Amino acid sequence: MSWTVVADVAGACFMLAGALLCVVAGIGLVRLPDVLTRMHAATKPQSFGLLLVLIGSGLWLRSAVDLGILLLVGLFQLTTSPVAAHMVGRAAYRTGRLDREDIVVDELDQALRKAAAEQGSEENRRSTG
Amino acid sequence: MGVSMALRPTAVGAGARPLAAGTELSAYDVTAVVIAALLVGAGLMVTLRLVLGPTTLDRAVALDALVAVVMAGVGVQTAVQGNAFYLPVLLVLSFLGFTGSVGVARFMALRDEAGTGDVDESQDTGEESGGPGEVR
Repeated sequence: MSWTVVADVAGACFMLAGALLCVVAGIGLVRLPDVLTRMHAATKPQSFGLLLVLIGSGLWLRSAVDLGILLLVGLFQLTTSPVAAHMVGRAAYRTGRLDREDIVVDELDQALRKAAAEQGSEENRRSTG
Repeated sequence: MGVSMALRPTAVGAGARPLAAGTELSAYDVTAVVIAALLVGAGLMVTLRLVLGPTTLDRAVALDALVAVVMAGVGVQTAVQGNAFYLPVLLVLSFLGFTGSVGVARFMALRDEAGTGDVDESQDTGEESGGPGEVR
């Protein structure tokens, strides 16, 4: 058994795992109740699933140029998908698209209240003084 | 096809195309079909959420997931064919796939800060909705 066969089998397994993560994300997107939980499901194939597929693809392609492109794809994906997730999560929180009963601790709410209180006291000082 | 071969002179050998590897042909074929079926199923479910999604943010999330599924499909197709023709597509999608949802999220945040409250017509739940807090 040469190393190419090993690489082929490993690549197939990696791609299969990535496809399974995509299926998990699809199920989660259909079944989960609100935006934040759906984001939790949807970010699985965006980072980990795609990395698995890229690794598997690289194991099947086995050429330096392709591996470089695949590495760049993985890097860009890891750089950009958190930005999108951050923006979507922020907009979801700000527009109240979340289930308050399901949240155990809401640290952003405490921080927002604290900041609003500080800002309010500052504005009071500025207007009175 | 010819372009990709010219781009990748080192990968024309048998190792670059596991499908053509003689005895293992059926195993790799079956694996590829299974992976494609899984990806199509995932894409259908994500598209269902894209169609159903009650809010715009749900659709943005589903669109991101759909881009990820399509990227996985392109990666698998590239690997199965041993043909790097579509790898730049993958690169561009990883580059620009997030702009849609960022634009939607930013648009909704702007609408929210402008005081119109909920963009969608569903119920408003959050008491902080439309709050003046400028905290980043």
